[in-house]
Amino acid sequence: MVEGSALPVRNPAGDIVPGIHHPLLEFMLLPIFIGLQLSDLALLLRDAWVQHYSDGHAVFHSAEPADRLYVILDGHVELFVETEAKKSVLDVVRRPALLGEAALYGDGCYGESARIVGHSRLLAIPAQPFLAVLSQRFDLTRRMLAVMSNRLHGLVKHISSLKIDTTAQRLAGFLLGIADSHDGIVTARFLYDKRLAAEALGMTAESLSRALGRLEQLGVQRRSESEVIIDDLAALRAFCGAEDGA
Amino acid sequence: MSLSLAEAELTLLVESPLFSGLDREMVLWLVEAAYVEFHRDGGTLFRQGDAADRFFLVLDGRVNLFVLTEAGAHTIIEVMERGQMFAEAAMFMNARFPVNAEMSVDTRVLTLPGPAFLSRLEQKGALAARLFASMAHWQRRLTREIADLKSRSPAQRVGLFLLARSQSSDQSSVRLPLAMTELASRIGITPESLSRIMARLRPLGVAANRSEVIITDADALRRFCQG
Repeated sequence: MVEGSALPVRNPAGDIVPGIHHPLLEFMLLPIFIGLQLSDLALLLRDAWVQHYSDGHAVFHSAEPADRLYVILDGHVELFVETEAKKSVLDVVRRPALLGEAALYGDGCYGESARIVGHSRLLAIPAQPFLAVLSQRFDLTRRMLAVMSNRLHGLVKHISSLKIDTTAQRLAGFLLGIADSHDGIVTARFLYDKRLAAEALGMTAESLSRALGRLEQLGVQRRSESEVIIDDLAALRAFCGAEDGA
Repeated sequence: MSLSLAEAELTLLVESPLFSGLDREMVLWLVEAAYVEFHRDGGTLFRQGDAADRFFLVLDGRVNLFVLTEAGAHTIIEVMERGQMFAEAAMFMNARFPVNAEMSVDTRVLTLPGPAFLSRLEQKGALAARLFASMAHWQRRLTREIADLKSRSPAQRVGLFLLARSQSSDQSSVRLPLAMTELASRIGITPESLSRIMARLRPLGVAANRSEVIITDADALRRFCQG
């Protein structure tokens, strides 16, 4: 593999795995890079690598200096904050989520902690060289402003959903997010345990079970502990978007 | 400054989260090309697929962002109210608007043309870093709010929901048409737990009958929810 067109791979211990590289092409379809020239991508990812992690690994801690950003390639990452020894799960995210955006703000600190759920593969991008490229390239700066702005609007929506939506609506939105296809009869699999999903949705495990029961009327069937079938995607979407979905 | 905005509206602009890291003069210079538009209830601000060459701040009123399903039904994605800025992501991306925008009451918006904004942003390199810093600050605030919401007791969540529902009213006493069964399902608790919670909220001026909730002291309720 020609240097510059592929990234090194590090194992969970942080050591470079000899002889294995990830072609840059693999990253061109990630939303934050989509539409970029390969040469620009190579510039931005000059010092990046692909990091393998094992279950439970702490990727970063809240209030640590944010010196890297990450893009999830495979697996799941739990984002949480701790206040007065109480843990609060903000979200459980997966490919192609961006983590540690605080690194984009120069001398910022991480605003939350990130922990690996299961086995995951992340693209690790050191912040300084990335920012140095941005400062020379207004087009790339614009792109990152757009990425951040989308992320913030997502958080605003999450807040209004926590305030206003029913548990069943929140669960329906979550199921649509993890559904394996966009049409026909689809399967949604809880790839991590339900308790964590419930925490991420801001409800108890019991509320989640009750909410799942309510969604049965909309053609959501439990197939096993970790899997549901969605018969009618459109009905579920309409239910989520309904202003008064109760 | 050619922008004719009332002082309160200028404050909305200068204090909007995206600009929180910039001083007033900087903001006004960045948005010098901005202008005010007035639209009647039901008017269209933009359509899905139009070039995203501008973004907006709601000065007064309400804008529904929606998509049309294949069957032609409206699905509301977001409702933008006074003080909220939107469409800047699409503008930064030089993309097309991903949704339709329509007024749901008579509305005044501040329209910020993209090309003028971007060219000024590019002229002063440090400004983009300031925008990122504003966003960082904003993100931290939102993150805290999410953690906060999730750590609330069910009684506080009921209170927050009632306050969010009564937001559009300035009166201290608000009547919300709301069935108890609906309220229970929104918070994700059983009707029995809700009865216990409503009893706890009664001394705070929250009264309820089968189909309606009456809040007589919104400030007291707010204090309880923040505690």
